[in-house]
Amino acid sequence: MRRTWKTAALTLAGVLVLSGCGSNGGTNSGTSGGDSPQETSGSQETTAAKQGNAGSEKEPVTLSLWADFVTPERTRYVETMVADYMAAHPEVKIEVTPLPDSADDKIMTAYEAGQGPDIFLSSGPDITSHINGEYVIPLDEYFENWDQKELILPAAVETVRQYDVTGNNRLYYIPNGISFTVLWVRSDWLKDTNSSVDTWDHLFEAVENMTDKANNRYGIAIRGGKGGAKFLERQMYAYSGILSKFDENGKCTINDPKNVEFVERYLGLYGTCTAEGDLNYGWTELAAAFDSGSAGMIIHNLGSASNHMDAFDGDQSKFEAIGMPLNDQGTSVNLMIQPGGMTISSTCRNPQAAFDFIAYMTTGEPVSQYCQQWGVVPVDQEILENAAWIDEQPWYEASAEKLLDENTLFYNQYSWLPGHDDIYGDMDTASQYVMTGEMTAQEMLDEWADYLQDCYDSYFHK
Amino acid sequence: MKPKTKKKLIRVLTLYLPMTFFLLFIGIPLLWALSLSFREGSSVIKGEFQFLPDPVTIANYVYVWTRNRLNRYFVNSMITSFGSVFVIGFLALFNGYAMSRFAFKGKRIFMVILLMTQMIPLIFNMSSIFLMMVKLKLANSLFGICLLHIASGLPYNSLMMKSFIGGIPREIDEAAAIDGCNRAQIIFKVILPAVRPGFTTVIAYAFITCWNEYLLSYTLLTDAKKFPVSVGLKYLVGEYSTDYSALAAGCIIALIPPILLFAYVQKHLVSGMNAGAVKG
Repeated sequence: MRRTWKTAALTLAGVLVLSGCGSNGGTNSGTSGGDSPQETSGSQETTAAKQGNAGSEKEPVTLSLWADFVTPERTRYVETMVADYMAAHPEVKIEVTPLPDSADDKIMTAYEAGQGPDIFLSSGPDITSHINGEYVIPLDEYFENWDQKELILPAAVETVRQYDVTGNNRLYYIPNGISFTVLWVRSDWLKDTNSSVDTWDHLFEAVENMTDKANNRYGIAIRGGKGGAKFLERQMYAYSGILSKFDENGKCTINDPKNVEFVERYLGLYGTCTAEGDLNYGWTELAAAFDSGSAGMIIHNLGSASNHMDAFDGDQSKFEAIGMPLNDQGTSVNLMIQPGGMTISSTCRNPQAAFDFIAYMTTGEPVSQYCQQWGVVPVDQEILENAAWIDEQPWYEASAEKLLDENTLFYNQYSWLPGHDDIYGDMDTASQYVMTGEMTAQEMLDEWADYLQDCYDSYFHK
Repeated sequence: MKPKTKKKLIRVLTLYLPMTFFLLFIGIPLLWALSLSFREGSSVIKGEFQFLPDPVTIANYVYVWTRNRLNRYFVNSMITSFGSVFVIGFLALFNGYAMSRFAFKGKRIFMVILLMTQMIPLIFNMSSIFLMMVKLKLANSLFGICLLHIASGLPYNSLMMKSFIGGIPREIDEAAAIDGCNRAQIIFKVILPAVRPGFTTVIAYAFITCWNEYLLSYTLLTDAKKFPVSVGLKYLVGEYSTDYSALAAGCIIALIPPILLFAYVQKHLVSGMNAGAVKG
């Protein structure tokens, strides 16, 4: 009996001690010391002003950094950059937490508990909810005083300002890189069929020319499933050349006749120049169609470059990325897909030190390496013009040229509008109905426009 | 048709055929993952069909174990799973015994509350759990994760133990008491050996639940070095691309402890499930 008790007690003690090994009892070293988060979260700018000089006085500073969508390779990049920075700034200690996927639930829970990171590096931050909750501070003051602010592409800064849902046009993060929606095209197929995709009319011709149903070869793969409506929207604005989702009178432009025309032409390709399966294609199936050689063209962003490189064994004569074709007005209209960047939380005790680190990571070699790892185009104009890796990879070179081209325009998506994204799921389904002929393009876009108009009107209290 | 042949045919049609179908249904994805884990990543992206990998490579295993740091996540998972599972097992045993043998005020409500805790989705409580753990200074610790595993696993496992213990006649307790056993001796010397199959079931079930747990660990741990395997595997799913071969290798590695556990407890597990099935 005594033996049984001893064994049970030892087992329990053992596992508890073992499980306690990993405990440090703490939560977030970045917020340790000084005022409590509750005291500082109410007034963001006052907090920033009060504590703004902490970094410059060379006092020991500990910052916590969370990064989302991190893979093992990206983790190494972040850790290396942080180690370099800490070597040059011995008074600063940065604790990195790399996070897989968007980390949105995690970060919102942490913010709500006042335990968010000092700095959040996001490859496409859901910044509007962070601004709404006053979890992050505006960086305008720091940005204005920053001697390298001229390096950042003005269009990217303007795009970031559009995410200020308070309507004050403030800057909540410094953009580091952007992704483009591009046409991934089989260059060899285009060459074989003597086609081009420089204009939208030529694109539709090329799709027909490249289609060879008998050999299971289709000119294009359409994303009919999840996420399809988002890309459809980008393409219709590129086609119509309209530069804002709402005109000067606040009327939604998504059901403009030119957009309707595009949807009719584009989704009309389903079944004639596409495989039947396109109806349910999400990103995975879309990429598989292109990479396996059954589709001659897909629309996606630059992030999929490494996939295509692997699939084609690095043979760049077989595929290329081309920016949005020219529309009737001779412009290439794009969406500046929510740029990545770093925010500073309202609970951060050393915002100046945090901004210094952000400034380091947003320019020069660190941002160049970041963009390579994340598959995005840098918005540091010096890097954009001079980086060797951009010249070596045609899709980045084409994107850089596009970004610096005066005919390249960006449309205002109003993505920050409350409820804006909630319609995409319904529109994915609606586009499937249009593809199967159970709904017209006009009906679909009218429904979409009505919804967005309601969002706009309720936001501006019309 | 001879009656014997007819009987055999019916047996094949009603037993072996459905079982073969289910075996294939469950086994093929596992075999496919196993095959994938030994393939080169580029052949997967190209969409090449290979059931038997050619060439065979262990690079994916090396990659996930070292570069993806699955070695560290694996140890964390072992700590939190084993750290929780024995506590759950023994506390469930005591709880089950109390609910089965004692009549106390509010017993019925207590059992309903235990059941109700299983009906609330975890995400619903996440903010309050996070705040509570922050206040307790346990938010970023494996010990805190163990406590939460225990708290979330205990109610259901206690009810399971109650069912198992309910199957043992009270007269056995009384006989042991007459022979001079105190309450603890009755539990450990009489009840535990009698409910060993049920106890094994509880341990196995609790282990699997702790091993697979994702949301609590991901939300509460802010130090990536403390993440468990379930979170570590997520690193292999990129924003736009997924390393399927490495992910398959990671999944196979993550499957090893549960498979070994089940191989060991399988016999007890089946009798344990049966033992509790007919008693309330």
